[in-house]
Amino acid sequence: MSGATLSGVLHRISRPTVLAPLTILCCLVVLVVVGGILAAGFAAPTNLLTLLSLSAFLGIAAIGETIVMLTGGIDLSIAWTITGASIVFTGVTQGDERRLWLGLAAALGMALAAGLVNGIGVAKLRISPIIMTLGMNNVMEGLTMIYSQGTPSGTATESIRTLATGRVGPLPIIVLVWIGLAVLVSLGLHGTRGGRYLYSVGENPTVSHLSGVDNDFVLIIAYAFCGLGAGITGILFTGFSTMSFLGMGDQFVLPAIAAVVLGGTSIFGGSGSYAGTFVGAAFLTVLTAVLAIVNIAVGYRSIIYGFVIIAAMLLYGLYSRTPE
Amino acid sequence: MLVLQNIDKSFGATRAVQDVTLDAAPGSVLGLVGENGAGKSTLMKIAGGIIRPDRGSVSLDGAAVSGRDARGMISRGIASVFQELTLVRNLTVAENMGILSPPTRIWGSIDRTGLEDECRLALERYHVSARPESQVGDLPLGLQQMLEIVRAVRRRPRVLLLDEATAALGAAEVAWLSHILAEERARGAIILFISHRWDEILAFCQRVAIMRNGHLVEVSAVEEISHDQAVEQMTGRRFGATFPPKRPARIEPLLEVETLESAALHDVTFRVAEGEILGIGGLVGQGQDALLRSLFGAHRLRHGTIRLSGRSYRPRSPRDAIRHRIAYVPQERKAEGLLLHKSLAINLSLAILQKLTGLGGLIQRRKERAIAREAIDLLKIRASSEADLVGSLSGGNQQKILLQKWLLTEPSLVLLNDVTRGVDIGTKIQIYEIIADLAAKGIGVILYSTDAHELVELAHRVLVMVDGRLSAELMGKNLSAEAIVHASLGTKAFDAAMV
Repeated sequence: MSGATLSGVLHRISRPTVLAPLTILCCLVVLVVVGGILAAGFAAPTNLLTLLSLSAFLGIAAIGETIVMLTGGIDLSIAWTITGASIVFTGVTQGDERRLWLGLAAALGMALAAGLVNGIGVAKLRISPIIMTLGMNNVMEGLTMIYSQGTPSGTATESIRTLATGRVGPLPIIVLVWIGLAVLVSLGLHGTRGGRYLYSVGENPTVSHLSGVDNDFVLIIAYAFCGLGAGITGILFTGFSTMSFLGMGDQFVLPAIAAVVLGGTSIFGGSGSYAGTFVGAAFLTVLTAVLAIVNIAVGYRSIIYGFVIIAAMLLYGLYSRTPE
Repeated sequence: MLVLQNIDKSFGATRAVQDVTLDAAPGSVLGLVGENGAGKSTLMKIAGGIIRPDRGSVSLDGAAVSGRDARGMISRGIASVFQELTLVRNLTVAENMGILSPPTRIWGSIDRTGLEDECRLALERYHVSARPESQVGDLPLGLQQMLEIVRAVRRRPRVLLLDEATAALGAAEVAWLSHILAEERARGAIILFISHRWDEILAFCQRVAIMRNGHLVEVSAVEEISHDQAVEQMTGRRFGATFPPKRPARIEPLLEVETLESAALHDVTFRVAEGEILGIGGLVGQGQDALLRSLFGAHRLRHGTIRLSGRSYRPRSPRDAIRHRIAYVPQERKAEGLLLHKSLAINLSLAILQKLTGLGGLIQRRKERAIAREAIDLLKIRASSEADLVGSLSGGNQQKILLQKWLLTEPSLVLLNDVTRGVDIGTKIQIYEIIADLAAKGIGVILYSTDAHELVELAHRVLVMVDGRLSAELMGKNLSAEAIVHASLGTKAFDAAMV
């Protein structure tokens, strides 16, 4: 196979969508080493597994964001979709295992509906993704407030708590779930017709349309997936925190977008991978942990965090500058 | 006198120009011809001081030329026009014209009325029918190209470089340019002219320089070299004939179009038989684009009827049209035709993915690769593998991939929107053969081209469009390049001296 030759492999690696996540992976290793030097036990397997399980929530939230950003869009509504799904789930089940399926259906149905509305707004009504999803975020906030009357009730069911915090031997179940989802998503993106259409709409909607792709349908499905992904994140995170609370999804929005970008997905759409996002999510979680042990003020932490994202964008810009 | 001495230039491992020595005299046009990638454009950019050569020297009237920025070039009296347009789409015609030195008021703000008046005068002076206040992006491609030429010429440059500046121009616009170049020569300008069309070289140039693989293989007076000799020099191969012979079309009607009406089309009625090549000609932007797109479901029709193989056909989208086995090869391969950052294989399969999808929506990658490899062999595409990004290939190879992408859909009717524009002669001949083969298989072809010569040699019949209407149908002995140009002008009041 010609793709397997050394020059072929080198050529593939030189593409920004591969080079960016590789760079981040190297940075991740450096971070772990630095953490290990700063605090004994930081680089120990048990701590790394814990960090990985924390990354899982971010990584799962970033699945939908990857899909949407591959179309050249963005979804800012995942904040309150995550919160809403969590509050509906605990509200419906009240921690009762017998109402698990009802709770799942209600929470995921609501999240899916939010995604569909986003998709229809962006594709059919041609509203800019930032505006559409920002507006939708407010709508979800309002709906959640009305539903919970400001005070969420109930707790996660035992099964969801196990899923989020349990272990199989030494391995956190949530990490296995994350890896499983990552494999499925990657297969979907790179191996299926739908995935192919997603990339083509993102790279050039005109070419895509003239090649017989139903661009609008592809966009709607992409946002629907993002909504559904946010719903799943909300439910899993409920299992981690055992209950739901207002604003619990806020912490996911920017890191999810940052993970996608750090992972080498073009913000203009059309190129990138979930494998990149996976590495990006792990990197951001470890970065937060290292900044925490360095023991500097929260304000400075935010500044460093912000600069890391800007630096990554800069790197990506350098990589994608192709000689004419 | 513009003198290039022992010029060498490499980009990475590619030696674009090797040991070229060439001169161009005032008051004359020097043609530069060769296949894509032969080094013509690089040489021209070196002549204009845009690119610095690795070795060798460039001098204009005895002084060395080695500028790098646009302003420096302009101050030295060097103006260039490239195939890729450099006009800003969101600015008006007047703003584009005056972008470097707009008239200003006392306090330094731009004098809009002054700018527009100045522009109007220039447009009148050069016989361009555009309004100074129109947005450039809204104008047809050909007109944009004309504006670009006017912008370069009105600075009265000492050296005028035209790199495929006629690629988007139709026959009548080329006549317009010939008029302008005659004026420029009379003024004593040194003109370098790159074109893939031999008749333009014959009409404009006194001498022609032929390049192949970075080398200058021949410089000769245009009357001393025939087209066939030139093609042989450019390609290093000998071709029997540029155009394949015409075969008679069948009688069975394939497409019947009646009284189409849309924003850009008026009362368009015609038929295409199986195996027929129907040419569409006319000035640039007379509705040819809309006509092809309307048949492909990408241009909204107000009314009219279309029948395909006797059955009523009204495409709602390109997707729908593809299902009815219609293929549309768009004009701008980079903007409308290909995903430049994706591999050859992905581009080739995009329109036929449905046929390549198995269980669970999974793409049969092995089959996809096989199709791509077959295309590489069949069309002699220069690529190292099917995983190469399309954007890394030369224009001619990209065009072949675009064509093959649509042939893979196994169409019964193929709509070709100026598919040989800016393509080198070797590739052109290959495309002509493909078109003739399609017709021989009984596939209907509608071929829009800005090259009147091409229409005459390939099409069974040619319809000429003016203002969204069919103004003439030419066939048999009435079909000639002159007749096409004549019919293209229709009732438009053009300066008689310009044609």
